[in-house]
Formats: sequence, structure tokens, C-alpha cells
Amino acid sequence: MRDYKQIGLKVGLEIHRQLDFNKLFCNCPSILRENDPDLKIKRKLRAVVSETGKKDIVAEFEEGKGREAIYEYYSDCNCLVELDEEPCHEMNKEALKAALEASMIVNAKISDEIQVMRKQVLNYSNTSGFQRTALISRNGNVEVKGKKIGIQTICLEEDAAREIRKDEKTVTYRLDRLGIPLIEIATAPDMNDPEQVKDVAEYIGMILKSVGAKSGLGTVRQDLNVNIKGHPRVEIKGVQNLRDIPKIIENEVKRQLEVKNGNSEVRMVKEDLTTEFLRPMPGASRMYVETDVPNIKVSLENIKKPELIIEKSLKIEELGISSELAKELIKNKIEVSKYVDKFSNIEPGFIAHVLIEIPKELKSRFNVESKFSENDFIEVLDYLNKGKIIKKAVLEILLEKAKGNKIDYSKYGQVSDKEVEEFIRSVFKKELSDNAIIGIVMGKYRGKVDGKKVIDIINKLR
Amino acid sequence: MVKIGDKIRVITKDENLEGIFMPSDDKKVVLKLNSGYNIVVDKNKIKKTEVIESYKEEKIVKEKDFTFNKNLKTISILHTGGTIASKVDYRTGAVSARFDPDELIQMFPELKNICNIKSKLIFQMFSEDIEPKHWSILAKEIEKEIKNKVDGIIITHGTDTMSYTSSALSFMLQGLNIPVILVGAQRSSDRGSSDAGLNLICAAQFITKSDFVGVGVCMHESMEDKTCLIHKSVKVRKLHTSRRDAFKSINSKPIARVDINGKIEFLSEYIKKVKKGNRKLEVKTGFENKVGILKTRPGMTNKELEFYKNYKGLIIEGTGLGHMPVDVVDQYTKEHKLILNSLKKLAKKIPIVMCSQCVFGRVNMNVYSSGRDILNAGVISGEDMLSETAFVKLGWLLGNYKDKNIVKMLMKENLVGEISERNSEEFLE
Repeated sequence: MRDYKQIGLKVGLEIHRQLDFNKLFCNCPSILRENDPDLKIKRKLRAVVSETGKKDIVAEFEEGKGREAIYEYYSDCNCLVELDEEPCHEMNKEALKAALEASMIVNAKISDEIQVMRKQVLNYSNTSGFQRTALISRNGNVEVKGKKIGIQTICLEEDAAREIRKDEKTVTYRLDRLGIPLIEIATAPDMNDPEQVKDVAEYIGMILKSVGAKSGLGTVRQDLNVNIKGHPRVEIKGVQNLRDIPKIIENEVKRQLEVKNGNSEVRMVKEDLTTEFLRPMPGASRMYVETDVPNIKVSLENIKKPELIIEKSLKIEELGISSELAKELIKNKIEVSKYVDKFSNIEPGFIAHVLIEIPKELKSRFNVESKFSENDFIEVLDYLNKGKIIKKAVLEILLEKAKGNKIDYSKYGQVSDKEVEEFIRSVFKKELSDNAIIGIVMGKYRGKVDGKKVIDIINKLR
Repeated sequence: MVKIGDKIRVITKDENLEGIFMPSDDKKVVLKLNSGYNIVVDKNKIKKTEVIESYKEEKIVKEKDFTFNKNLKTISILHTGGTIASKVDYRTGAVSARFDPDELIQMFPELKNICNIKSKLIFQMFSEDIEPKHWSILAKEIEKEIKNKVDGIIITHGTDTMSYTSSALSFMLQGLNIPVILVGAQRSSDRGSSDAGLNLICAAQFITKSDFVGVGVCMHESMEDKTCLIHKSVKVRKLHTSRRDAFKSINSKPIARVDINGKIEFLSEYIKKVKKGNRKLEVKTGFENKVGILKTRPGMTNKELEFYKNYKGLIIEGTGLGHMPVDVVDQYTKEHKLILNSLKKLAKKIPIVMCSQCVFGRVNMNVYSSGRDILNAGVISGEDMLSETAFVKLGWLLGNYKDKNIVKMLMKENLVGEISERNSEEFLE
């Protein structure tokens, strides 16, 4: 085990996560496409020359590759804005709200007025030649496993187009992803242990999910800023899986210690979790004002600090619901406490089971698609709460409901143990197997008796 | 005194901020932070501002290898505004338009191998602010350049009223024997995706590699950075607010298709360059501003026509084949009689020309009785002219010919390609 303190390891994180709203500067839905595009458009970009006659170092590096871009356009998730054929619209209010909420969670200082910037990007991943990005807040912090980690900035920006193909002459980008709102949280270089970096990344990921971020592969990207004493800072892009973070840092530290005169540069993670050179480190010089959107005066009215998923989950678990079910309830935005308060005779764990697991079971076992309303659940749970039906009947009732059938609840009423025992006695024959007897009993009392009880009675008679 | 570009420290109640002082207004201070982001601070919250480092302007690097090449033709670029060429001050984020030939070449290095460049700033304005007087000034500037023996002229122009200017120049510069091409951009040149470069380079290629003379408009053919079209100056309209291919030829094929390498494909008949002395330039820059354009509509009243009684000419943008509400058919259409009466009265005083709101197609007032009533009132058919072109033509005729009958007669004649004798099948393809 390497002594990271001794080599002076400092790691900062930049987490980019897509938000589950329409695009940031137009009203297109944020969906990805795998079918053939409706249109392909060829374009070229050129670096904008600076006042002093210089071109930005990164811009020039990318322009120098001299390729032509082919953009794949989808009419259901793209419009003229992504094609750079129309000025951008106003910033998506929901996305801004999410960024403000995230800022509140980490106690960051929110700007009074937000100015949208253009960050020049000439690798063709943005049709305009720049990425729109806005600084929302600064100087916050999070506490992870007892250690305080500084949050330098929270930005709201648009995602880039997806690279599909690349050869000597052209690079093909798909425009579906272009413009999806991203929250970017950048930490201070306060971490000095690779495992800690993973924990912090996980925690920040949870914060972002709490304000409406998307989940799943491709919705989140982590960049790592890795610095060891006496070596220039290196930025590592393309970290997809949190689990890989410690290994990537370890590999990078090893590389930096081996290289004599390293450069401050941007590197890309490879499949084997080592890194390769991507491009020079960009300077502040490639940012200028997006003049197509007016500055946004921030109003915090109607915005309050949202509850973290982790807090919500703990509250649900306290009711006696498993953490797995708690996660699913939060994901599906179901307020289980409402049901628990209302149906005090039912165990909360079973309520969660009905709300989450039964619809899944109907699909997997009976191949029935269910679209239950809140009232459907309330109706069934109310019968159960009043003892008018038995627990076992809930699945069958919901199956009938999902099929669109009318429910006769009297069919599912409880039968007394005495009645069941009398019936079993009346049909009992020694030569009949247990299964045969159970079959007969269930034929009469399906949904009204527990199988276990029937077996108990049969055993008594044998 | 804090200057734009200075590195400063701003101290507020709860924080110290360091950054570059950016253009700000009197209520706030805009700072560019180290990260490149701008931050806006309310002036009321600032306790103290200190200059950390005064901004020293960096020397502007000029393109060194720009020399006159006698094997290449010379193009004069006259700038009127719009942002064909801009530079960004990355320190302050300010964008400024650039006009020096060497700076143009620095931005569009391809130009160096196409032509020699002269460059002159005539105006710097949004095209919506351009007045007929500016057309006259521009025409005279072009005349000067022709006397200086340039091979062609590029005029950079905002796109909004570009086709008004191109039409005006066609009328004002009679007997033109060099190409004059107007170029604009739908995406400003402070972004990497600007269409300015291709439009400018294609215009230069067309000028140097073709025998076309006259006024044309060079803009993107499609949403791709592939080819540009050269449109006839009097047959083109901006048909889209924002797309690169906003300019379309109306009731005419474009003159030619050009690509960045100078491949030219002619698409229609055009006027060719003749030997020196065989065609004489005649510059007529008179223009009568008091010409109106009236768009007819359901619910219009005769008052709207009477507004023009002190004008010198009027273009009516009628409906369909050249109609306006002049029939009385029931109790709700009584006003229409007043409209017809006002029209008759007005047409006795000033030339009135009918064009169509349809944009595409030719006016024909003989088909329906209402059209015949309008013709009989003394309204002139604008044939297949765009209403903007008809407006420019009428203003120019009134500004240069005193006799109203000559004005009316010339209005019906094709002078510079504004009226087509035959209309082809092309329509929004």
C-alpha cells in the first residue's frame, strides 16, 4: 500500500450529471436515439481569433485535426437550436431550480445574477463551436465520513453531442444528447486517499439524484484532478464507474512518478484503467459571454432545500421497510408514509411490497402490464386493513384489476378455521395425496385460506 | 480608476473576489474569475475595490506574409456592418468587428490564395438601420473603387435588409461591368460555427473565377457548409429568421452554385463581362423616400389608403393574384366601396403598384372582377416583382425621373432583371 500522504496526493473531483428535464436551452425532450437519423448535416468549424491575433491553444489543437463533422439529427429530440440554426431559448427553469437546490444542499453561495458563458469547443461535439455553461454557486462543502470536503463551484451546462464514428476525414456526432442539462459539481483538491474519492463521488451522486438527476450508464461522468507534490496537475476524463476510481488514481500516481518531466494536460481513461494523452490543459481564455440570453436574476422564492435521498430512505427504513424497497419507493416517487398512516393494521413492509413488488410480479409471472392509480391501491388496502380480505388475496385482486375486471370482494373474505376444517374432514380420504386434497380445498376456498393452514389440518387428520 | 481588463479585488461583506474587470454598468460589477466564468456583483454590496494588476494591452500580432500578388485579381471589400469578421478579446470577452485586410486573411487564410484584398469601412450598422441615403453613398463608393480598377467588389452587409440594398445597387449602378457581391452571415463570426467564412470565400471565388458582372447576393445554399448560391440582386428574399440558408431566389433560378474550392455551376442566364469601353457605367443615385408599402388585410379601412395621400408612390401587397377588399357583398362589406373610391382618388395622384403577399408567383388582375376594378382604378401590375424590389424600383424611378408617366411606364418594364418574362416551375425546393 502506497503512502499517499507522503507523496502529497491531492485529488479534486468534477462530477457531471444529466438532469431528467427537457434540454437546457430549447424545449426538446432529453432522450437518446439508436435508430437511423432523420437528417445528416455536414459542417466545418474554425477557431475564433483572439484580439491579440492568437487562437486559443486547445481550440487550435482541435481545429488542427482538420476534419469535417457529420451531424445526425432526429426530429423528435432535436430542433433548429441543436443544429445551430436558431438562437438558443431561455434557460430551462426546472434545471435552474435543480441547480439552486443542489447549491442549497452543499451550502454554496448562490450568485445574485447568472451570466451564461460560451466555452469554445472545436472538436465538433457542439454544433455552435462552444458549450453553454453558467456558474450558479461557489464555496460550499459536504461532509463525507466525518471529513469536510470543499465544493468550489456548481455549474449548469449543456451536454455535448455523442461521438458515433471517426476516421481520417470526418467525425460523426449524434445530436440527441446535445443540450441535455448537466449539473457540474467541482470539489476542492481536498482528498488524499483514492478510496475517499470514491466515497465523495458517491455522496455527490446521491445529492444530484435528490434534485432530479438521471440514473444509469452514460448519465454521469466524473473527471479527476490528480496532483502529487512536485508534479504538474493532470485532469482525467471519462471515468464512468465509481468503483474504478481508486484503481485509476493508483495507476495515474504510478505513471506520474515514472515520468520525469510531465505536462499539465488532460488525459483519458482507457479500458485497462490507465490513462492516455487527450489534449493540452485549457486556459480560462476560451470563455466568453453568451450574448443570446440575457442575464438571469436569481430568485430563491419558492425554492427550498430538498430532502436528500439518503434522509428520505432512512425515514422509510425506520417504518420497517427494507432499504431496497425504500430505494424503489423513492425512485418511483411514492410517498409510502401516507399509506402507512392510513392503514395502521397492515405491516408497512407489506404495504411497500404491494406498491412495488406486486406490479412487477404481475408482469413477470402473468405478463400483465398494470397501470394502477393511487385509488386502486387505496381500495384494496382498505379492504385488507378492515379484515375483509386476506393478505394472500391482494395479488389475485390486483391481477383481476390489471386485466380490467370488476372485483367482487366478498369472494375474498376470510373463512373461519372451523369451516375449513369441517370441509377438509368431509373430503378427506387416506388414499388421496396431500396435493390432491389441497387442490380440492383450494378449488373451493382460493384466495380465502392460507395453504399452510390447510397442510396443518391435513397432517392432523393423517 | 479601474479600467476594463484590470485584475482587481472586490471586497464585499462576506467574501473577497479576484478577477478581471469586465464591461459593467453603473449598478453592478462584472468580474471574470480565474475559471473563465463571469460573476456579477451588486455595487451596493461592495465595500472596497482594489486594482491588483493594471491591464497592459498586448501587442496585436499582424499577418506578416500578406503581400500583393500580381497574378491574382484584386477584390475590394466594402464593410457596411454585420459581423463578417470578428475577434474575441478573451481577457474581457468583448467581441469586435475587424476590417483590415491582414486581419481578414488571418481569420480566413484561404482568401490569400484567391485574390488580393483591399478593404474599406463604409458604415458600421445593423442593416435594419440602413436608409436609402446609405444606398446612394455605397453606390458612389463602388464607383470610386471601379475607377481604382478593382476586379470585383464584396459588400459585407447585415442580412435583414440585404435584398433592399442589393436591389437598390442594381438600379443605381446602370451599365456595371464588374461583379458586386453582397455577403452576410446568419451566425455571427464570434462563433466557430459562423457561416461568414464560407459565404465570403465563395463570393471571392465567384468573383475571380467567373465572367459574371452585375449585383448578386452570396449566401449558404443549405444548412451544410458545402455550397453557396449566388442570387440575382432583385430576385432574392430572406425567408427564414435564423437559418443559414435563409436566402432564397424568388420567381427565378439563382445565378450560380459555388463551392469553397471555386467550382462554379451556372444555373441561369446572366450578364457577362464585356471589353473595356463597350459598356458605360452610369451612376444614378437619386431616391424618393416617400414611397409606402401597404399590406391589405381583412378588416382594413380606406383611412389606411388615405394615409398615403402626401406620399409620392405606393406599393400594395395585395392578396392572391393582386386583390384587395373592393366588393360590397353584404352589410359587413360596405367599407369596401370607400376603399375603392380612395384607391381611385389616390391612383390619380401617385403611382400605385400591386404586388402579392403570396411572395411566389405573378400578379394578374384580369382574372377576377375585383382585380379588374383595381386595374381600372389605375393601379399598375407589379408582375412577378417582390414587393421590396418594387418599392426600391419605384423610389429610384421617382428619384431620377420627373415625368410621372415615364415612371409609370418604366415601372412596367424590366430594367435590371426584376421582372421575368417567363416563370419556371421552381417553388420552395
